[in-house]
Amino acid sequence: MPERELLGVLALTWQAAVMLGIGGLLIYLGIAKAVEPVLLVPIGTGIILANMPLGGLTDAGGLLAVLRAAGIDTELFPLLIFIGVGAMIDFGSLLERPYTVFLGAAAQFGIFGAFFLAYFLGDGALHLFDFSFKDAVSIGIIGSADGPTSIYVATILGSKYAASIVVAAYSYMALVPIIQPPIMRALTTETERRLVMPARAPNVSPRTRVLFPIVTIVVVGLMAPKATPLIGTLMFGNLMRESGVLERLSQAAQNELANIVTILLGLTVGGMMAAQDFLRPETIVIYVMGVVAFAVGTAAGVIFGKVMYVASGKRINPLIGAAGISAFPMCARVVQKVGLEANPHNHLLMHAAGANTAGQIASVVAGGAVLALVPFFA
Amino acid sequence: MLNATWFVLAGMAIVFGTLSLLILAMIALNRWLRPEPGAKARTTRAGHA
Repeated sequence: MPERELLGVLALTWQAAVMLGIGGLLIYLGIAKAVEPVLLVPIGTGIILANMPLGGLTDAGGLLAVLRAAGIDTELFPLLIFIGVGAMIDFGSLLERPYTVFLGAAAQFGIFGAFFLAYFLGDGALHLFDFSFKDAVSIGIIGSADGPTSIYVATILGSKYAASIVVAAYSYMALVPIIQPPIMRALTTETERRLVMPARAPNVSPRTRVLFPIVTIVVVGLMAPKATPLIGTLMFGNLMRESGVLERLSQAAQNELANIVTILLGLTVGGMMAAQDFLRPETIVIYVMGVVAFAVGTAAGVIFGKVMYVASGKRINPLIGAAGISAFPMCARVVQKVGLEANPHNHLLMHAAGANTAGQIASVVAGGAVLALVPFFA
Repeated sequence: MLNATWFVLAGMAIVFGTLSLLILAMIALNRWLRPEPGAKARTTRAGHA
């Protein structure tokens, strides 16, 4: 046995050392700064475990390799997470305000805008980076602001940048309160931001709440069949929540299932960040593309909100368009905060929650759409 | 880049088309299954994703 394989420190490369530092940084951000600790602590730990010399966790049969094969390569983890997410989401705000669906749709332009830019920089025109059509689509999906959908699409498309894409997607969700407000302020006037949208008394029947997830599966499944696994699991979770007879299962989906899969998913995603895959110029570009995706999605949502502001006779505050990207419920909270800055009596939270939950559905539809379209265009 | 342009247009068309049908479905559900007069609407806890 070579002596390099006796002690890990003898096999430590500078690349692995950098990755250990990145893993430590994520753990620090999660614990000391409380930045998405549920995600960053498992991911950071996974990075450290994967890059520990001679640890063997990513070798065939190693823990992280087994988890990746079982949960990521099969797309199992993102789908299980979606059952929990569906059980957590209250679609009541959306059902009260069906028009907010279009804000969720408009915000998906972030996916396609980032795709277009990535493809332009890659194989599409400039050839500055090794971005194929499928890589560009996978990078664009960061704009869905939806971790499970990002994992699902990047894995199915077989992007070589899947690990970077997933980490970028989760990182930017934590940065929504920093990325969105300047864009929202830049694209709206003080008068628009001050617009008060009156609160509504809940007027959705329990039967509507129960039927909505089933109808959504049918509509989305028929129009964007590749989205069926994602929308199916999301709405199954929501059906358990709204059925009124599955409280125990709903709680299990929201807590035990979501927590266990989050632990496994975080570790596995971190475990995908081996130094040789992560430390390359494309990773930095993917992170920049992630900002572009979130910014374009936010801008598209706000601009569509402005269209609705005019079309509705100035009754819809365009700020709620920013909640169309699906980072739930952070975006809705950001809208509430920016609205309150302009007018202390302006409570936009429930209106923004409608757009935010619409964005969750829209991001899944967009994921299904790109999966269906790639074979025709790539 | 032409194929990328068509890809973007087709993708957004599917997103808007699907969600347009969904909005119609929601309007129909809200119209046909209105809460009965006097019934207290059920509210549920806000979610986290």
